[in-house]
Amino acid sequence: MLNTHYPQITDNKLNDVEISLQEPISKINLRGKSKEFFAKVGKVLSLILPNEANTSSFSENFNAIWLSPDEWMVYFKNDDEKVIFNKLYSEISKVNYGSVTDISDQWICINLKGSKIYDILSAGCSFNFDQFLKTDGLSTQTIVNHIDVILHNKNTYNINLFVRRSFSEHLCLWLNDSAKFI
Amino acid sequence: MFLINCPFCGERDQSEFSSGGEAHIVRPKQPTELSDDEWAEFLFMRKNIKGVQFERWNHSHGCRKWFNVVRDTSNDKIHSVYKMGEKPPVK
Amino acid sequence: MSDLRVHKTKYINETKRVSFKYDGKNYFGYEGDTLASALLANGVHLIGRSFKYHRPRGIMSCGSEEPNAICQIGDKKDLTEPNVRATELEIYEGLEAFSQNCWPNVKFDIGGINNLISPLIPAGFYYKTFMWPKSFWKKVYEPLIRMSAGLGKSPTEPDPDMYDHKYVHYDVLVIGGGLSGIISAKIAAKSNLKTLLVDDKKTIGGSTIYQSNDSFKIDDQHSSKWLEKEINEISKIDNLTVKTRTSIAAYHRYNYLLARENLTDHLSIKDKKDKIRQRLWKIRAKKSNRSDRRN
Repeated sequence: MLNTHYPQITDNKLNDVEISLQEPISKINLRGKSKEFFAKVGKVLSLILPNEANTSSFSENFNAIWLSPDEWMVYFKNDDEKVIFNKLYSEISKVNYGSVTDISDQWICINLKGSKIYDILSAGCSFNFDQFLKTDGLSTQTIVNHIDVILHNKNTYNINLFVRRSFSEHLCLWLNDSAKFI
Repeated sequence: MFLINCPFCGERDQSEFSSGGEAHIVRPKQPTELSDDEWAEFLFMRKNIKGVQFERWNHSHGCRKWFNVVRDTSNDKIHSVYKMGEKPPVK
Repeated sequence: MSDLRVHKTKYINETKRVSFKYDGKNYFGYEGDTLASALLANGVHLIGRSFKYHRPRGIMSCGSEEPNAICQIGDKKDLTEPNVRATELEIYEGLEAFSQNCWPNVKFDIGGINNLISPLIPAGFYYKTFMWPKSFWKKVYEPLIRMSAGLGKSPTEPDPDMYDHKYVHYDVLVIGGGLSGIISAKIAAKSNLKTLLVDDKKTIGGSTIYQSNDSFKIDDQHSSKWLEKEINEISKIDNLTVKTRTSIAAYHRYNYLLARENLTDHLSIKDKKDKIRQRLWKIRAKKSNRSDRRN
C-alpha cells in the first residue's frame, strides 16, 4: 500500500537543534546533458542549474541541487506545482531533451537548524562537514545512519535534509535520539 | 575502510561506494558461437590477484556514477581513478 | 593509612574523600586517586594471582602498561567488568572491586597448589594428561578446566548502559599528551591545522607533571611548572581539541583510527545515571601522502 504519511516530529527543540518538517513542497528531478536542456530549464525556472559538483543554485522561487553531472533536483514551495511540472515536462521530456520526473511524494524534506546540527549528523555519517561550515549553498548525497539522504546546506547551521518517505519516520526518531546526547 | 576519490564528487568514505569487481573485461562479440566453458570464463572467472588491480566502482550512495579505480589489493592504496571510457593508466 | 601517600599534589583532591570497597572491605581514597594508588595508600599490595601458578601479584606500574593488578569491577550480573587495570580506573563513590583468579580469596588461594607441583606440570602436560580415562572428560576434566580458564567473570546479562559513536575529521591527530605530544599538537595547531590531541589519563602532561625538582628543568624552570604554562596556553587555541580519558583502540588504513572516550566511568554511581558511558570516536586524520594525485 502506498505510504502517504509524514513522520511525526515531537520534541523538535533539543540541545540547540531545531528539527522541523518542510512539507508539502514540490520536488522535481531533472536529467539531461544537451544545450537545449539547459536553455529550456533556464527559461521555465529562470534559474541556472549548478555545474559544479556538490553545489546548488537558487532563484526567488526555486532551489536546484547538483546530484550528479547530468542530474539535478529542483525544489520549491508553490501552489501551482502541476503547472510548473507540466511546463517542464512538455518543453523537455516530450521533445527528448532530457527527463523530468515529479518526485514530490518520494522525498521528504526536513529542516535542521542550530549550532549542533553537524554534530548530530556526524553520529551516523562519515561525511566531512568542515566544508559546510565554510561555504553556504553546498550540497551532498551521503548516508546518515545507513539511510541515503540529500543534504542541502542553505547556510551555516541550516540544512535541508531530503530522505525517502519510507525511511523518514526512522530517521526522524534517530535524529531525535541523537540530539538528546550531543 | 579506505577513502575513494570519486571523479565527480571528490573524496568520500568507502561505505558510500559499491564495488563492481574487475574492470576491462570485454564482452565477446558473438556469444552464441562460444562453448559453455568459454562463456563461463567470461561470465564468472576473475583474477582476484594480490597486488595492483583494475577495478570498477560505483558511487552508489552519492552520484551513482560508475568509474574505474587502480587499487593495490594488498594495502588498499589507490594509485589512480579514471572515468569510464578513459584510457587506463599503464603501469 | 600507610605513609605511602605523597601529600599536597595538584592531582589528588585531599579534601574530598571517596569510599570504595575492595574484596568486600571498606576503604577510602581521595578524589583523583586511581584504584591502584588508593589501594597502595591503604597498604593493600596483594592484588591478584598469576594465571597458571597462582603466584601473588601486586601493582607494577602506573598506567595502561600494567600487567598484574587487574580486577573485577562490580558484582551485578549485567554490569560487572573483568580484567580492569587498577592503575587505569579512577575511584568513585560506591565502587566495588574484586581480585581475580583466586579462590577462596586472594591471600589464601587454593590454586596456589599449582605453584608447589609446578615441577610435575611439564610442557604438554595438558595434552597428555586429560586424555584418559575417556569417561572422565565430560564429568571431571572439562568442568575443572572450564573453572580454571580465564581470569575474571564475564557479565551474563545484557549491558544496560548507553554508548555513543561519532565520526570526526582532523588534519592532525596527536596520540599521547606527554611533553612531546603537547608540543607537536601546539605546533600543528599554530600552523592552522585542525588538530586533535588525545590522552588516556584524566589530565594531559604525561609523566612530566610529577617532575617538580631540580633534576628536571626546562628553560630554567621545574619541568612541571613549565608544562603547566604550555597546557594553559594550548587550551586557548581554537583549532586544537584536547580529549582526555580517551584511548586509541585501532589504526586502520587511510589514517582511520578508533578511539574510546570514557565519559562517566569515573563518576559516582549517582552521577552516572542516564548518561552515556563511553563514546567511540571514528577519527579520520588527513591523508599524509597525496603524491598519487596528478596535477
